[in-house]
Amino acid sequence: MFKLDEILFALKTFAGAMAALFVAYWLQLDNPYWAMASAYIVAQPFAGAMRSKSLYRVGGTLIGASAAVALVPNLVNSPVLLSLALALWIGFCLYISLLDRSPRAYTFMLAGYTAGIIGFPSVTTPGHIFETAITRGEEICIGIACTTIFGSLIFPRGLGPVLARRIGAWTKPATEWSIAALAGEGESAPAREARRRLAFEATDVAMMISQLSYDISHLQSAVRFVTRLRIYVVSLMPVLSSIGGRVAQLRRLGAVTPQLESALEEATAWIHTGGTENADELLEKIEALEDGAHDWGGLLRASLAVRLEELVRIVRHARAIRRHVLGGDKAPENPVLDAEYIAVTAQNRDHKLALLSGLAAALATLLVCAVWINTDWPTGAGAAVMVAIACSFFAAQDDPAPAIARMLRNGVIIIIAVAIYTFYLLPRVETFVELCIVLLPAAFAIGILISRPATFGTGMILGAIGPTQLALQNGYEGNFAAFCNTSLAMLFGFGSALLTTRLIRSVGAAWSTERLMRANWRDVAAAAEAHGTHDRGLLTGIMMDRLGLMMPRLASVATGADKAAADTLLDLRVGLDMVALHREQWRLPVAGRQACDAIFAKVSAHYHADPREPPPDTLLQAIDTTIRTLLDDPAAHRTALTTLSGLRSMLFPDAPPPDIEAWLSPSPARHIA
Amino acid sequence: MIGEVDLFGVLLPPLLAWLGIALVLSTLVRRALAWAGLYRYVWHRPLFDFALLILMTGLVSLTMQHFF
Repeated sequence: MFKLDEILFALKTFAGAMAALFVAYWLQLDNPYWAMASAYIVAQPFAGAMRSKSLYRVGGTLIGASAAVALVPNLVNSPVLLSLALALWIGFCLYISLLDRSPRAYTFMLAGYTAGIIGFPSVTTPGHIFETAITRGEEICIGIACTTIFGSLIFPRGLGPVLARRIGAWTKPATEWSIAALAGEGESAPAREARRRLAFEATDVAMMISQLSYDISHLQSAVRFVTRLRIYVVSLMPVLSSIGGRVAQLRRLGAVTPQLESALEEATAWIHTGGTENADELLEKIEALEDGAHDWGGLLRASLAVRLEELVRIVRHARAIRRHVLGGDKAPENPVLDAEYIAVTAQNRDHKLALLSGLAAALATLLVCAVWINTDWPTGAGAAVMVAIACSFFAAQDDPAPAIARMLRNGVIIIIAVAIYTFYLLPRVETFVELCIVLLPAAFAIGILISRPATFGTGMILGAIGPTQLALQNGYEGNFAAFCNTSLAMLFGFGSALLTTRLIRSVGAAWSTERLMRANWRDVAAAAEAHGTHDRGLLTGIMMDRLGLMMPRLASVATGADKAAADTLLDLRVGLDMVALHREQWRLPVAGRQACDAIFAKVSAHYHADPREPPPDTLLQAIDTTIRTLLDDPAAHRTALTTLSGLRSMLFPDAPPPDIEAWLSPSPARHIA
Repeated sequence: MIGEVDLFGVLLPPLLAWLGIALVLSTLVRRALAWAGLYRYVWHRPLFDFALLILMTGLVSLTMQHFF
């Protein structure tokens, strides 16, 4: 029924919490239950996750406590102003925290409602706020220290092996997609499946990587390389998508030369064998492909060769890193690769949605404060705290309402459990050991819930809110009126959070997918206009990050996910071509520059409108005009020409080849990296 | 180990100060060990780190006792 590591986790978390409670009693601190709650809040099955959350929790508590100390004594004489100030602080902190999707965001979220936890109950005794803040800080540190020590010393579970297994599992989809792309079958079923998988993984694993630096396994020191591996996967996706499209088009045109055929075969074999040897031979062969560019097919082959070169370089380096991380080989360095092709870590930031969440939290808190002030409810402070917590916890989700509704349901469970404890069990308890024995069953159940991924959320809520509601004091005080008041306050707080969230914050998965797509289109348009993101790495990083965010939202409809992945990769490649063309523009003659400007204007207009519509024919004409203009001196403008041919084949895959004449010109060898 | 450390009027037990110094020292040692790749031979890394911290604290407090 229970697995051994689940039991172990539940017991060691319980031991940590009891140690924290004991220390808090021993030091005779007020509200010792805060230490116990804190111990349960930071308890996580993986040591890395727990230790990082501990650190962020200390930081957030410090910031929040400082805010409470600064605000409450100054505004305590005008409750309305104080409520407004605290509500705005909570909303502001939530906004800041939602701009960051990494676990670090917890710091700011916590800073927000910690000010509420310390500030709201202190309005009746503002003179003691400094002591309250210090006590809370101390108890949280005690709780965290106990959990961290017990959690890391007694059979800790390292994140490293789990992450290593997950990264190892990328090889299969990456290989399948590469082979399908090299065969020109980028839209075959395995390739689409692999594309969905990688797009999701690359974004999803970023969170685990950020916790890895706090891990206890020997992979802890490999964070730098694991981060790079993820970045290579991100960079690989547009390259593979390009290769797939280009090979398919060359086959349609019947422009696959024997040299290209043999290079493709060799590349496929190289991908299959999985080594880093003979990559140099392959690279030479691929570079040789670029020299035959004397007609339209040649241009396409040259642009394919550029992508093939990127593929081989990225894969070679990724393999070297993998061997370093898993096998302890020499650390590979390749600064040129990193500077030229590689994406950088970028996160999509949705200011509007974050602001909306902050607003919802602030409004809900204000609403509860209004009820509290107008009714003189003695435990109104508790309701204000609960509403702030409920609004903050799930704010990163599209629709936090179902999670808050579950929180409300868990609140009822907590009330029942607290009633049993307060009125039946605790009156019989005399010593600390007895208290431990009495608390064990509930704490064990919560520990088991936390250790299972599916019930982690429920367990965390029960562990965080339960001890606070139980409010163990030194000595028994079974006060039925107080029990009713705090229980009502909790339910009222959660209920208000649910209501406000439903009214102004809930959005659907389809809506946020659309929003992510539009953000991508804006970036491509900006790249065409040469403002905003005109860095290859940044553009790749941020657009692939958004694609990764779309994947779970489209998980229920595989065709939707496929279309989103294909479209986003196409958009990204158009954006990258825009950046490349802007880089080349300065060396073009005046006529060529003007022709390029026409392309930029049309691409930007296309992406400002709706790129799901087919691109206008005028854009095709603009590209053809530019190609014809540049053919005056094909050797000098070969990068621009290959970029343009790539752009044309992406946006107009079905258009007949442009009517240009084959030219004869010995092209100088090109050198990149 | 008598007396307290006076930090801008806030009196701290000396043990806290020694702990702070030991934390810095053990971080440096851990960095060095990780750089040298010696952690591959450590079975239980957090236990090792914790013990290192305790040893460092003991070392610092002994040294300080000697001087003050």
